[in-house]
Amino acid sequence: MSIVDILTIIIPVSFTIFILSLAYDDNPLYEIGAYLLIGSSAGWSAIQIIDFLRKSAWTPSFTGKPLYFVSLLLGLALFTRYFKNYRWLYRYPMAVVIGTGVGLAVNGAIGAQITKQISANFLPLTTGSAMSMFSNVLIIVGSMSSLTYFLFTDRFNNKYSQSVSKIGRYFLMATFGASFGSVMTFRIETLIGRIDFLVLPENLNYSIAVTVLVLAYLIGRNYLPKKQ
Amino acid sequence: MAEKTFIEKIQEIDPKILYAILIISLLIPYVRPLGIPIPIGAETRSYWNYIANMPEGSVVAMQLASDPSTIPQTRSAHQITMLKLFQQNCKIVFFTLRDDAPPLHEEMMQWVEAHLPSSKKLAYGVDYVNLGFLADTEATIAAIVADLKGFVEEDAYGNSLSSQPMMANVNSGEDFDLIVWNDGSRGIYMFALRQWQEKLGTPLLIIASTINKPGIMNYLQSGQVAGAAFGTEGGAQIESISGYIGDSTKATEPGSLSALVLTIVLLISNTIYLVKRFQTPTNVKGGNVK
Repeated sequence: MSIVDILTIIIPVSFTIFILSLAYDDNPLYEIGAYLLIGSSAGWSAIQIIDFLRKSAWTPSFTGKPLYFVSLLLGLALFTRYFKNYRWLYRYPMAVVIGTGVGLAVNGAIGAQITKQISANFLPLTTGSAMSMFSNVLIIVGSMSSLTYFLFTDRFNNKYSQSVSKIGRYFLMATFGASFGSVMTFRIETLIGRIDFLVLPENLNYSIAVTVLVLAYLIGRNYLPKKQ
Repeated sequence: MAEKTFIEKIQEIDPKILYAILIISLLIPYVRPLGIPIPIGAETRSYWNYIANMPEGSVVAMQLASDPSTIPQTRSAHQITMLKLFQQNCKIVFFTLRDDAPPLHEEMMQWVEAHLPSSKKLAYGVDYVNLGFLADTEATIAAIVADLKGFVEEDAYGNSLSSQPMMANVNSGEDFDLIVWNDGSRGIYMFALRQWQEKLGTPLLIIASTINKPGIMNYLQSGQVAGAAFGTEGGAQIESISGYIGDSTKATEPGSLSALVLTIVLLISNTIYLVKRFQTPTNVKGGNVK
């Protein structure tokens, strides 16, 4: 195995363990890992974004699509916020970004997120298996009662609406619970992804060696005299 | 000083002990696999049926927005989908909306090429095209749908898109038969849903981390998303259906065991909370007073 192969294994293994060392305590190894991650990610992103700008705006500007140069100028104007006298200029590209973003999102959302979601709630209650009928009832009751929870006006504030909105609150709580469960599973799966990498046959010996060294450092650190 | 009660001792437990228990529970299946079966979910079954029934020559858009931290959860489903589509002679246009995803795509292409039969060699520009990284905004998807070649003139390697044979009849979103959207954990599947699926009715399949599952389930139920594979579990199900057993199947047991540990911890902490709540006198509606 060449030195390059060994480094290719030992660098990611070490930095994975440096980052995981935060579970023990905040320490300089974790900080080195975190800062290097931020720095290298920023550098990589900068290169990718510059390449995208070259492909999609710079080259077309000089090959028959001069209007694309305007987008580059608008992009540059975003940086004027760092100069006191020209700060007002950055409002124009921001207006374009927000305007197009909101316009596109609202345009698509009406169909995809409102009307289709409402029509998806028109479900059969008397056909299909008992389980599907029960699910459909649950979906309809859950949607309706959750919506009533967000009716805040006085006119709807009577004992009937309050009991429906209370049912809605329980449905909302169940939804938050499901979201919490998904987040927990996601975090665990992310951790498993790294553990999977550490226990790969070709990485395992290095993982054990680095873990032992890092643990020795973290435990030994507690016995060193602290700076006043 | 009064001796601490059991509940107080549990409440003051060092988090490092919990981390250690969690790590041990994660490592047990690596040492001794438990053989827990993997049932196939309805959403994964619809996902796979869609892929398996794509006619020869179909043009598919595959977007990858996983990053190095989420790719272990979505890699299996993504690369097996690529393999299956190529086996069925479909044409694929790849792109990513994450700047750190292009190297991950190249890794998966190597896996796909290694798993294709020796008689089938993929030709760039004929079987697939890679657009590389595109800005991660909704406007990007709107532009692809409206005029792909007008928006992206060069592929990821600097070649003119118009010079690629398979792109001769692919000009806009209308020319695609399927969208496979790997969302990672970003929640940007809305871009495809609002700008592409909603406007043109192109079928949409989603690969995503479990964090996005509650949000996407609404669109699966309404039929706007034709199928989905969520996280390691979805990946393992795809591996099980396709027969390419790999990392996701290996990761399901540590996932199940650690979820069990977390559930026990949550149950204990909530029980302690309830016990303390009933032990403490209450004189204010909805609150406790010590």
